[in-house]
Amino acid sequence: MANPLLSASPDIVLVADPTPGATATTEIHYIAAGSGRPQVWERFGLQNWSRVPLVPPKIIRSDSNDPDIDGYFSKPMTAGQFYQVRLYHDPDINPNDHPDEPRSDAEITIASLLKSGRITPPIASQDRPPPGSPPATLIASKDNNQGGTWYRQTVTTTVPTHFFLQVGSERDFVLNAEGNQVLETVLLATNDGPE
Amino acid sequence: MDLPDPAQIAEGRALLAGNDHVAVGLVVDKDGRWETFSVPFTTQTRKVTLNFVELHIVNDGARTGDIGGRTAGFDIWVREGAETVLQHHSFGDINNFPIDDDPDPGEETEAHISLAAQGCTPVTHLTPVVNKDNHDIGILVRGLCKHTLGNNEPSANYFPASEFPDLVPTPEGAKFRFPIGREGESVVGEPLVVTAKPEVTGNEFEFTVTTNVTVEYL
Repeated sequence: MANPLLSASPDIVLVADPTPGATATTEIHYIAAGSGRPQVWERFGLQNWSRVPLVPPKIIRSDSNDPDIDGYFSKPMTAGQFYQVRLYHDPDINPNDHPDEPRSDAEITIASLLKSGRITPPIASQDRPPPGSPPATLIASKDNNQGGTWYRQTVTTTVPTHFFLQVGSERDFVLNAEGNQVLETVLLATNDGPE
Repeated sequence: MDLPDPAQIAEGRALLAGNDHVAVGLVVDKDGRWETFSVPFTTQTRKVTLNFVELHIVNDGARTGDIGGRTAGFDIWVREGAETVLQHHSFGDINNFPIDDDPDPGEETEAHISLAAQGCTPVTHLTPVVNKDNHDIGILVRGLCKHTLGNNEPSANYFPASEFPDLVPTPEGAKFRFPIGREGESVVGEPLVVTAKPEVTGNEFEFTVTTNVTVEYL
């Protein structure tokens, strides 16, 4: 999810502690898109966007020593959350009023996963858990098709989920900080509800 | 990027036709349990058909001192990418091919010239793998009209009009804007109109060329 103006490290947060409410932290770095003061907005899930105050203590450091040029701030996340940040240059833009127009100068989406929560679908029916236990798989079915300039993916899940989809060529894959292969460029994201 | 569900959010660029891709999906439930999948796929191949429709004389460039009717010759090039020529049509005759921006009744074909009648056959082009170097399809046009006194007058949709466009990159205004997305990427007979203007300030010879563009993905 690398972007020259907005980046997160890590861009997929892994929460090691399975205790409910336990968090792990990502660090956001923004860089002003032009000569004006950067305008940074954030939200969890599909909540309203909130403006990020670009002053200490929220901004913990700046490569240029000027938060109006660039800055870092951290965000603790519990497992299962997704967090979005947008960067604008126009101080009059409120993404709550105009979600998609004009486009932000940059946007990132960070998912938070339980490190031990990876689900591998059972292969044999006898591996399925007894009734009443959590579903053994999140993905019930999926389908895809494509044209010349687009790709479509549908996923049906057994419980409400956030859904992230990245599309790229194989050369776009990079290793992230955790050593997982991810696509460098996000083309599609997200769907936060059950299908 | 087109999406099947209004709840989904689009980001980023369109895909290029005829290329191998991988889609990587991640679903996460409220407790942070997660599952991934990956799908290799190839986008469909792009086929473009250009039908040359009409050359319209906007201004025949007549000057004081010109004797007799106006005449001109024309060239049309189909470009792929910045400089590759897919097709070159040349027609007219600077000494004998009549043009007129205000023709007499019955002579309307001197203002609205059928390109099919001038031998401009359709061009069909399949691009197996579209990349940034061959993505654009463009039309370059050039005309040269005769003057009795002084130099003959060139007009083109590139600069300088006095030269053939061998080393001139395809201008933005000469390119067809390919639609993208699930609902609109394929088009039938979408007009591409390019306008040739004189190179020299004060000259007036001007014309348009209309080409209908059909885009299919196979």
